[in-house]
Amino acid sequence: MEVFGSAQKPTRRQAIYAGKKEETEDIFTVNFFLDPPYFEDITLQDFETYALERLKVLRIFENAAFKTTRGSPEYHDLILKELPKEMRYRYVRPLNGTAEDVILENRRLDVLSHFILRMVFSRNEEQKRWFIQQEVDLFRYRLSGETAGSVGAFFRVSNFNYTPLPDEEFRNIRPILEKSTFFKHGQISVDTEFYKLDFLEALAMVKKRHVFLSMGYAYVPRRLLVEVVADRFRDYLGLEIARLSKIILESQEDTRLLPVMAKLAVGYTGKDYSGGELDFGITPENLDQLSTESFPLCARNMHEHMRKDHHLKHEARLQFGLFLKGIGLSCDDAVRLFRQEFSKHGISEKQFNQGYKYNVEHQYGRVGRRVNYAPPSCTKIITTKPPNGPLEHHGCPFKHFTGSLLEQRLKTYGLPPKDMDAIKELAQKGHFQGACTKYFEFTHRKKLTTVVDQIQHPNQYFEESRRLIDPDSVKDRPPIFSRRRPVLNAIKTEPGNSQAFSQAPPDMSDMDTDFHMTDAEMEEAMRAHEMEVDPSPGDNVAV
Amino acid sequence: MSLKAPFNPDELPHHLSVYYRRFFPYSLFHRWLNYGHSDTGHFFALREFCFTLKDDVYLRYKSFETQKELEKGIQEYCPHKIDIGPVYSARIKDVKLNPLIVPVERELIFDIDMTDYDEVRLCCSSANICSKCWPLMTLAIKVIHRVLTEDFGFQNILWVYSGRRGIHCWIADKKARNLKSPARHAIIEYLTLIKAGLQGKERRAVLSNFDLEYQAVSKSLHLVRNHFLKNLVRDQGLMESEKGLAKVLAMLEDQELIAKVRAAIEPISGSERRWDKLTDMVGDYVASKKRNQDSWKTSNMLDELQVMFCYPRLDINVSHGLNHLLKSPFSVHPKTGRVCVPINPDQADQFDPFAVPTIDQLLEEMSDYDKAHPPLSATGTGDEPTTVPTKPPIPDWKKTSLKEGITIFETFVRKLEINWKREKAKENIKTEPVDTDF
Ligand code: SF4
Ligand SMILES: [Zn+2]
Ligand SMILES: [Zn+2]
Repeated sequence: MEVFGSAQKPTRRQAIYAGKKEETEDIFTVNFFLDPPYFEDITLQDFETYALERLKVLRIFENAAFKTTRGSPEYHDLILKELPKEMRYRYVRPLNGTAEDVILENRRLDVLSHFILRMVFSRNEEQKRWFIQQEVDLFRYRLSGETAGSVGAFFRVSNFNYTPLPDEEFRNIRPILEKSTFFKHGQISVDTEFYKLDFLEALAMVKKRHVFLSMGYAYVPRRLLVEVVADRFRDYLGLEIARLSKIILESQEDTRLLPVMAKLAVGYTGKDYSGGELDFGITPENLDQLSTESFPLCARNMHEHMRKDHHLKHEARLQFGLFLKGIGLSCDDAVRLFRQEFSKHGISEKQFNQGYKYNVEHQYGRVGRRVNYAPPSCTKIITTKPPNGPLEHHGCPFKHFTGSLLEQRLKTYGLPPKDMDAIKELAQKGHFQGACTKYFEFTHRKKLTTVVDQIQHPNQYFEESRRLIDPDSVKDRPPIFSRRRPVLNAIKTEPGNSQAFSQAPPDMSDMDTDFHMTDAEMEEAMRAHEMEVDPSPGDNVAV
Repeated sequence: MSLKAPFNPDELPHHLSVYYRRFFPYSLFHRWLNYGHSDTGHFFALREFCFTLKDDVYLRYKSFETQKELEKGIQEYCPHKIDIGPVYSARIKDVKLNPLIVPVERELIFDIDMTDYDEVRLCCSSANICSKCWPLMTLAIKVIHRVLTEDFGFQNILWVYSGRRGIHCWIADKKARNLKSPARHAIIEYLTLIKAGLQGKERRAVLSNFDLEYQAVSKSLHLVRNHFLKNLVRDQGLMESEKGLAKVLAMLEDQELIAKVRAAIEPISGSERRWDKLTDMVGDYVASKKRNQDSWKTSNMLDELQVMFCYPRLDINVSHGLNHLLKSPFSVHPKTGRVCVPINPDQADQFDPFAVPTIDQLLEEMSDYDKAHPPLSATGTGDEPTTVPTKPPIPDWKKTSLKEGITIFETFVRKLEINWKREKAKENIKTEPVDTDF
């Protein structure tokens, strides 16, 4: 953990209280994370647990920002509703009268988990951006929840030179401030605490003429100061993460962490859709209809290419195969489907049985290491392995298609120009899942009754679509595979296996002509899509 | 100002060579752009100059170590136009720009061009200006100068006539020179009331009720309304000229309202009385829409109309980044022969672009002066008339109408110098206690 530099272990008092005053009103939760944590020896298991919990919190913020407007009452309500109580006390605001050591412990976990995720998400640009956005939202949310007292304390500790305008100065210019400070419609309360900042610190508000400006100073009410500080946090975090990713790139140590971090970074904390939980009545025969009705764009794209070209390259076979498994296509049906299509491409029965068949069965955990692989989440699809050239059809169309290809495709699927523009705009701005969610909304408009959650997983897309279009066809099925367990348990319970985690994720860039892969190669290739090793005999049950 | 020496383009190369030897204020110029750095600091050398030669041949990325070198360079090339670029991170030389060398510092600059007002001008179009439209520039100076000084607190501002149809503004405070692009962007936005239309739509002014109350906007609007009434309605008879009336009415947008107003106004004579009538009618119209969902679209339409007619229009591309070139003060406009002289913003009303001396005129004024004041001895006509140590002769620019412009420039440079001294003194105080720590 040397990447953050070392920190002194803080004393209890320093850790809790900001300044000299030791009153409860001065206890603040918001944190600028200026100092790296004091890392005691933490186990890999803790490492993952902390990370997953914070990830869950960040997901809630992401979802809230997606469904509502940041800062609106609905936004606040949604976050409060979604955050489980303990997390709320830990990440937003402790209950009044919370014991000192609880506060101390909460803060420790807050700092630790933040720095763990910083490390986890500093490995590619897309992930960095995602992480920074959610952390800034969390930061802003917490800061705006602080009281006048605790905010002052927070500023003092973080060395921010913000002091409210002295009363007399405030009284003198109050009439101007009232006229020249912007209120959103519906905000009635008049600000009473103003801070005088160099205009360079308040550019976003200067630009919109939302604050009074005089002699190079912007007069910013506390409500808007939150934005200023949040912007500073964004800049600071961006710089720190850029620095960090350089260090991580250069340092070779702690390779045991790499696979765990890679997994966390694309971590999808919802369901894993490894297959079989629900029965949608899928058969190879109704696939075409389901594809038009309910496949997300990524799956539909691969499906249509399979029908048209009678072939799919390796990455697409993996992504599409796992997707099909996730929606409940049986292993035998899958083999049948691919055999039928690929034979039209000139692949002989023998060739198929020697290579492709094995791949499919491997995905279902029937052969080889007998692992039940989970289909990849959107984040994973979006942030790893972009399709290489026009023959590769895996990936996410919102991310990997050119603007014109996306437009053409949406047009073919019958979207009116207005909807198309909305989707294209989101995709252009880098909100790929947002674009996908909009697409879902537009194509299910007639059935929709509530706002949809952001699409996080192609199989989630499918499930929600089926529930809307044909709710009766969705039936529960007794679970065949056990649910997800943290990967680190596997290390503990299967010591012989830990070898696997001490290697960097395999490079699979040159693995297309693969139907003669050895067992070991196959497992390498699959590891990226791994969920868990399930030692129970259940994984052998035929679907 | 006499017009006895009209500008003669054919003479330009020859006249320029005299101008660059005897008039161009090198010393002040260097004092300005060196910004108080020591001569050994090579700061001046990091600045890009661009020379435009005959037939639009551009020499970009010129740089000069010293004032002497600059003098030599200018006199040697005798450029038809001199542009000033940014300060780079390292010295650039003639060659194509090395990608590792980047702009690091640049005055905040504004470029206001009369051509941007073409859609609302009644008198001229494109590069032409006259005494009727020039007050638009005067208004721009007043509005922007107030914002820069009162709101942003800038102190070192140089306004310059561009030589033909516009004005330039150089903000040279240290803070302004070090602004990053987003900050420049924010300042422009703060100043902007007329937004470029979305996708092919025309530009529009949109004012909310909050805008109207917002101090900076309300101060600008005060100037705008005065200008509109005095300059357009009264002096130019806006409401009585068919062209003007059409433009005004078109901005009301609602066809029914336009027809009604037109019918009510046409029988009235007198531009101002027509304007009063229109104001009343639009007032009623706005009141009738007050309850509507989209009342914001109409509620400030009268002010929006006036803003469209005269609020400053900036060429934002110039101000955005650090590396845009801008014509140097005291360059000569190659098409008009007029010198790009500074304008005193406090007396912007008095500035008359047609009184700005042309290069031909300067030469004539000088020889007139010399004839009237025959030299006692034969000094001061050599290469460096301003630096002869014994018995300094009166510099040539003082003999001409360039004097006024140079005085404004000198005041600007002096003020900068006072600020440097103050800053240095402050820095010394600040650093002292730190020094004793070690
Ligand atoms: S956002 Fe997810 S579900 Fe939608 S197309 Fe992309 S990868 Fe598929
Ligand atoms: Zn210009
Ligand atoms: Zn004119």
